[in-house]
Amino acid sequence: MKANQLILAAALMLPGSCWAQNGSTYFNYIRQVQQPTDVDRSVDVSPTGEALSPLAIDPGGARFELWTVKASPLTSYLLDTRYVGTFVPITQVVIRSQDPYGPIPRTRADKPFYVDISIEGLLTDPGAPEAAKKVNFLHHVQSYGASGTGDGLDRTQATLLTQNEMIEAIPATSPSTLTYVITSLPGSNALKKRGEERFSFWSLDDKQGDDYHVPPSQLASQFIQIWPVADGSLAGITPNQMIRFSLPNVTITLNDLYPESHTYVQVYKGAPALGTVGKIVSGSSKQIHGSTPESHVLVLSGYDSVFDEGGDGQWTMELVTETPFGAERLSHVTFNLDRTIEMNGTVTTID
Amino acid sequence: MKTFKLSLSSCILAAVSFHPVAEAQTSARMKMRDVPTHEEVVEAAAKALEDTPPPVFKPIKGEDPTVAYKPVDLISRSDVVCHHGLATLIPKRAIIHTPKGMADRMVMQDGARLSGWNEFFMANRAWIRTVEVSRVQAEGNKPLDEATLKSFEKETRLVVAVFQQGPISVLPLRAPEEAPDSAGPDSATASTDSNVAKP
Repeated sequence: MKANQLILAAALMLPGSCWAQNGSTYFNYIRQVQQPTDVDRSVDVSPTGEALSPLAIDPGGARFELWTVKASPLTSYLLDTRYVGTFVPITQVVIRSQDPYGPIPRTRADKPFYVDISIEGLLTDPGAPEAAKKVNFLHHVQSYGASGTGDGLDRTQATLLTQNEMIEAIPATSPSTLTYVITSLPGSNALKKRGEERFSFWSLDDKQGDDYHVPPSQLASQFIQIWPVADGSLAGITPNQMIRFSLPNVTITLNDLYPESHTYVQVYKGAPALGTVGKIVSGSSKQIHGSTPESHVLVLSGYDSVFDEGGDGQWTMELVTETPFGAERLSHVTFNLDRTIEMNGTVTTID
Repeated sequence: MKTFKLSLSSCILAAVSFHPVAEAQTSARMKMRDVPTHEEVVEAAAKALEDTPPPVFKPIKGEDPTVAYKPVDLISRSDVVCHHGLATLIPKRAIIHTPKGMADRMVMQDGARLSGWNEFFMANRAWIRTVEVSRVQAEGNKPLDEATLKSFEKETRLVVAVFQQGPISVLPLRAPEEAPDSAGPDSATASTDSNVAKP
């Protein structure tokens, strides 16, 4: 092939999977690595934005690498890569779930998610190199462990579930949707899986003689984080307990509260009736605004006033969590309240 | 004497047994369900998989490209330049001349802050010189011009190769293609565009 002087406008946008920061301890770098020569150019990068690469991309293409580097100890972390070139297929991966959060898509272990893919720029010429006619679609899964959050994850340890050479073009204007009704993460408890699933397109190995070898490179990639289903318990009141005078302390144990969720204890009069809106017990409300699940233990005390308006009788206490997937009852207990004091007295007059 | 029996319902803790507001609150409804169990999730997934089977892909063959072809670590591909608490990373082979006495500026110093090349160069241009190279020169297909190379002999500054202000690695000059009548004393530095790698 003849060297091509075409300057390809390469968008250097920080990808969604970037969670590093510029600051005193970390700095982001982009490197443009020309293929097949491996000429390496450093590109200054702002936390957000885009720029035009001034370096002409050879017919072999160029790999853009986004790194974040920690100053002490000096350590680099690869955040993302994109391989682009005149004859390199253009692919896209977009993952959707019922949780609208971004930039990293996320969902819960029991919920479905959808992967939209597109492939453009495949050559159909029989004489074209295989790397220009096909792309490799990979699906990796990686568990975070029992309580992990993905921090410092070594992604080379991910398990490759499937790979598939794809030869059919899929226009970006009408991408193909792959539906995953439930996570493929390993684990014996379907509720407590936590980790990530990655979908990526890779170019094929392109060897055309001794002085031209472009190894496989990532064309597009996206991952979704899977978080466990929350669970919780109320301790301190037993079912059908008769409670007189003051209410006992109640210990609330909350495990794996979903990111961006609201969990609380509510009470209402009567037997359990799913969907009833009761009164929230003061001190029981827990809002999660982080990006990872949280676990907490709360102790409720001195909450008698929440029952004042309802008076004596049968009550139900519920532990409820509201997430992007709706409201769910984690636990409940029904008890009887009798705080009425009956006084029998005799009044005697001198009449 | 008149005796009567008095029964009091204490108002101390729960005076009102029924309240319109309380009734309104407890009669309100919201969409809610019990959190699923493991068995329910497995069963629902099995049923959903019947309706929406997962994509059918070929079995795994060969090595995982994400492992086999992961880009080499950036630190090992870079030179560190550090001075007065500011540091940057530039591609290896971008430094084309290192004068004596610069060794302490070529390592990461404790407490130094990382920066991009532009910020670092602006702060340290007194002892750093840049040389603009072409793409062909960076690929090792054309030598740097003689005058530039000669200027390094007395250069006391660090010299960094840049392409449009961005540090770029400069590959060793490729040997020219063998030609019957091209063998001469300058052949090592006289390669031309005819040496451009042909993909």
